Amino acid sequence: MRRKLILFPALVFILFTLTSCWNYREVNEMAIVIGAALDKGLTNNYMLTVELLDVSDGKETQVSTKVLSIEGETVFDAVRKLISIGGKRGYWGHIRVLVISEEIAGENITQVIRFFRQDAEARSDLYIIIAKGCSAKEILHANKTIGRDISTSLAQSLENSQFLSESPPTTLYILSQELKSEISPTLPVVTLLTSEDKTIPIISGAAVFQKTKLAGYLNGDETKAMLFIKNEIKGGVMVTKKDPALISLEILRNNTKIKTQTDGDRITVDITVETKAAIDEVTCNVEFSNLVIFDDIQSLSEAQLKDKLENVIDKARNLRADIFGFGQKIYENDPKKWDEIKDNYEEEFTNIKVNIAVKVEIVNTSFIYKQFE
Amino acid sequence: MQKRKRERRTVRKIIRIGEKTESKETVKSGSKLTKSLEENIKILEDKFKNDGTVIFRRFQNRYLPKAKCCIVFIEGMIDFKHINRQIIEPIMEQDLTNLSLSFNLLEDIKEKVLPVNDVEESGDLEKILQSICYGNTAFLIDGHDTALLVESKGWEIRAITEPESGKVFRGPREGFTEHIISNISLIRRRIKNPNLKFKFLQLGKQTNTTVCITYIEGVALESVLVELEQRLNRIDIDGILDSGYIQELIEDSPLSTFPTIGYTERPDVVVARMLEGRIAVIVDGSPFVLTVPHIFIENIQVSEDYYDHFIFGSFNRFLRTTASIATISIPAVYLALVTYHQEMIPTQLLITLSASLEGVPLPTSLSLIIMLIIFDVLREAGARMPSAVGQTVNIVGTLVLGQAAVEAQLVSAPVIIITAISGITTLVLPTLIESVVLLRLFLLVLSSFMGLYGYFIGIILIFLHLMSIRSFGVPYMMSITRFKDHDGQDSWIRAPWWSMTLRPKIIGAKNLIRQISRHNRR
Repeated sequence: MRRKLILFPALVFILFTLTSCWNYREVNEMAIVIGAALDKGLTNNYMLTVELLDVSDGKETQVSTKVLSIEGETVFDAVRKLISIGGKRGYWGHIRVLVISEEIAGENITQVIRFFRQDAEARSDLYIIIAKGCSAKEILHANKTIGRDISTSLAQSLENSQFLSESPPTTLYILSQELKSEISPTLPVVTLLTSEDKTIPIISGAAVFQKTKLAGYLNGDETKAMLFIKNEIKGGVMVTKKDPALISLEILRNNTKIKTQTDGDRITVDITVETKAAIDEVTCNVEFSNLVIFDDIQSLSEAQLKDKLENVIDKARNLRADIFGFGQKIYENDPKKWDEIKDNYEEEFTNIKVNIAVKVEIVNTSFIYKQFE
Repeated sequence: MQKRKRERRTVRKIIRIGEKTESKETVKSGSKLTKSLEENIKILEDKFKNDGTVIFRRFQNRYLPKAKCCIVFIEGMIDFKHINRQIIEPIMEQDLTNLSLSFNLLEDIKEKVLPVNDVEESGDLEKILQSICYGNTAFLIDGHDTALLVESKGWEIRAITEPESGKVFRGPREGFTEHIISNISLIRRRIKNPNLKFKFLQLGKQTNTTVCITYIEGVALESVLVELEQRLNRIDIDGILDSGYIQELIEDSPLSTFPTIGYTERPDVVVARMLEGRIAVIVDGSPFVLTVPHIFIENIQVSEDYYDHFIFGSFNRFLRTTASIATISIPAVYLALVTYHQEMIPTQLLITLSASLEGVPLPTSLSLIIMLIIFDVLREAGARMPSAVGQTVNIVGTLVLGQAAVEAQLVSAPVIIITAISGITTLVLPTLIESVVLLRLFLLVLSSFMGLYGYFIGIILIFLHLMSIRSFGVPYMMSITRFKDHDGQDSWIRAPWWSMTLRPKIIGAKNLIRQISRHNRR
């Protein structure tokens, strides 16, 4: 009995010590990676650039960032080789953004993002951005604007993009979902703007993928139109021209419905856009208290929005990338038809008949409509 | 092995010797007084040998010099004025010649001379000795083999003051003292009802401590009363100096750090618990009165909850429950997050933590354990320290340990903050300190080995333990886990008085109806 009494706690204790000690690590023994960039390497397959938090010890501890680059045969190979430069092992649990160069995206984007999906540390809510017109490395080396580091400000600008709607904030999770389904993914684009010997990264527009390959770009306005069709508009500004005035409408709510109809060989897609907006800015006096003029503004903005939507659909057709997910809708509504056209969908996409109905409802106006003479 | 055998043998020998001495005493206890006063005085003097506080006062009646008397009492246990006026004066001054004609002088003195409320006649030496020890006066007269035991107790007692523990902003400020009779009166004054019962017994073979079981008949459960009496009668200790002795001797799970017997210094709390069906045990010499059965939620209930508005009372109770969970969890969860689950910390916080941990030589787990132990040492030092020195503890604690340790980078600032939060929240629940201090370290060690996984294993173990223990047949976690009927009325929240029409289940099962409200009448 006594032996059992001693043995039991001893066994339990041993059990505890053997389980998960391997996971123990102190915060100050790891290098926190907050952003990464991937380019084609010069001597090896990939060049990994990481932005690390650098905590300098002293009377007052200060946090700054360091950007390091290393080449590797695979992404993970480069990740581990970082130890040889930084000393500490990188910690990927808090990575916010991953910038991928045009070159890699042009080949196949899945070759690099597989690591981030598979590894235990990296998060699925990691933002993926395509660097346009420069290498991905240069983005992390760019000058800081606001805040401590480039990666956080990039991530923040994507988080807040719902008030702008000029780029599609895409996380690793959404990207991999889209790659699995019939939608061609779109990723936000970052470019470098040089002004007064400073280079500043700017996020605007979208990179369009034909499945896994980069096919082309959309500018900010086109991206907004695309988001309208994808029903991903949460806010933003819609500028309506009413000569000579420019009227800024703030988008309050938007609801887009896509319906597909298959009639023999003909496929029709009906897009209904219902937007509620508020007049926020008028560049010169417009008497929108007058109902005729008010209705005029509504119909003008409807027509102009419809133009934009048609424009972006045409552009997508040219790139042969179904970024709106029409294919997915067809598959959901009529799986048999989808099986027929699946193999030739890229061609089919350009021939789909698209009907667009736009309804803009101005629910709110600024009360002051006659500001200055 | 041999050594152990030898030890056992010596223990047996000691027990045998003990038995022998005991049997000798029992033979003596039956002895009686004689008819001669001088002989009786000799017997008593022999009994109280080497005790200078026992006083033998011989005197005679003015009119009847042959009636030689003697009173025996212990200095410090009696009221001098009382003995002078009520015992010595009447016997000395009154004319006893008429009485001397009667057959029994002692009986006549008891009935006609002594103006004292409590007088008893006894010839049993053992009883006389005990009575003297309790502060009574033994009155002996020549020619009688019995003595009168006259009530004359009187000693210095501490005044009734506000208790140090369980202070309230609103509510009665009376607290129990060390004097059992005054404690009983504090209870009696609150329940003016003949159903309030007091049962006395003597515990402690050397100290002969008076212990009183008190309950309201018709409200308290008989089964608990029987069980309590049985457990008290089983006590065979030589001395009881505080109710803590009894608490430990009759507790259901003596190895558990959670108290299964309640204690309080406040009469209003005792009465409130008795009104719910509990039974109180008052121990002479201890201002802490025990109550049984005691369930977990009583540690979180505070008398002020019931005196304040019920919403505010419920809010305060919510604060206390959160604090009780926080105080054992915060160090363990912090450690788990910082050393195992960095993914769970928001990025900005992780950066701040990383900055403050930079350059600290000790691992987080070790520095947390050290700081918590230092905090407990400070608490312990502060509790025993005379208040004049207490300031030093404060200064050393805050300045030296807090600020200097962080500035010298021996520990990180978050560790100090965590220790402080955990320390302050401990003090919210004074009756649980014993458990909390140990469980906090237990959880901390578990989570330093296994992270959150270990923390949860620890929490599960604690809850399994709490769920398994009982106090006098009542589940310890009663009314915390169930919300059926009126179970939850007085646990996580304090329901308004007009809705608490029933007493708590099981404990108040004997007489469930507390008040007949409109609801009950219907």
